[in-house]
Amino acid sequence: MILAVDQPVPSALAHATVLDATGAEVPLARCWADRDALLVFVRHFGCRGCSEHVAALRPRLDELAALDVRVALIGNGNAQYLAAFVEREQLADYAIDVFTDPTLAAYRAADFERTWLGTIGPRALAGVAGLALRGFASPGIHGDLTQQGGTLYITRAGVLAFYHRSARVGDNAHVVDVVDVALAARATEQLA
Amino acid sequence: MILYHLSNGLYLLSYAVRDILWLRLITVIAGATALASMFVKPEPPPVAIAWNLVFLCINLVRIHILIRERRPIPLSADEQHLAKLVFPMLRPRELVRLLRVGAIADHTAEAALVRRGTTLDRLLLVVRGTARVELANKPGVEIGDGAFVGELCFLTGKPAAADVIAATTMRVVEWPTAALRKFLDDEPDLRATMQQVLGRDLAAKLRR
Repeated sequence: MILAVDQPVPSALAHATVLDATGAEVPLARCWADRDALLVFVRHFGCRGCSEHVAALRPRLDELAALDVRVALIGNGNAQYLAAFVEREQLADYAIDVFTDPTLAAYRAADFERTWLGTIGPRALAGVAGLALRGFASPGIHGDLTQQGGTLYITRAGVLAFYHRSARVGDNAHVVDVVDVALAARATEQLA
Repeated sequence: MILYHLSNGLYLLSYAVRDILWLRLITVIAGATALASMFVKPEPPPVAIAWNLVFLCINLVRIHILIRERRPIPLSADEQHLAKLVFPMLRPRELVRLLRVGAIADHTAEAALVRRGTTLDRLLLVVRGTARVELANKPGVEIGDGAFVGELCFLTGKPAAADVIAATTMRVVEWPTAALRKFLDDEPDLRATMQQVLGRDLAAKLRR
């Protein structure tokens, strides 16, 4: 499968389904059916690096909502972990959808890495130490430990505008880069 | 011996203060006292004196920088106007640094600020005055103080979709695109602020 920026999203990814907090299946393509979508795939729901990513993203959620960009966060633990994640990360009051993909089908469709090296390799462990020093705690392993995350920005036309594939814990897309992509995508629409 | 203990007492005090400027100031006094205690010895230790002088110099330079950074900075009338209208979240020093990447330019009424179809190499921000945005096949709109001109081109890199003509005499800030991008790349916080301001402007346009 090829995921290339400025190209349509592959059908395998569009047809992948994730689960909402009630356990209902949601086709991933629904996220970008009527507006641009920012999809943030975290590792497991207890991941420190993902907590840092959410902390960086949280203050920008209102801006993205004002730009009519849907933000969806996808993890891979069970629904109980999903609810705890939303509470721990204080996401309940924001315009953000949180899903889970326990089968990892959407992760595979997005071609994200599944590797032990990204979890316990030297750079990953150094990253975990840095995260701990910055105060990001882990409540435990709430999902697949070896599955790495990533970030996609998909326009309402179904075109991939941004793609980041995390190699290890803490290797997150820079939020300023993602916001730049959102601004450019929405400005392009306004120009058209 | 008294100087030696006084010096260590001051070092102890410096570790207890939270403010980095006070920490450095007390460290300098402690270092100077330590140096004095070395010079009063029958045989002053040259290596220890040399290292203490190095530490002293580094701290003095950092103190100078900190004081310069903390000194209040007066804003001109135009800068105050923009601070209130567009950049209330920026500290005066940050605003001045951002504005200095560009330059203030005055335009007479009826001057063309932007021509449709041209690729812009600058981003404009209206300080004072009014401009008409003339779109093809759409009613024109007027923009005034605090509005950006050419922001869609700045965000997308695409040519301008409208003519922008000064309706009155105008004062604008003009940022060369390349210089502004480079500056913002080096300043992530200011980049986020600029995104916030441009995003708010864009969101308002998208709602129209």
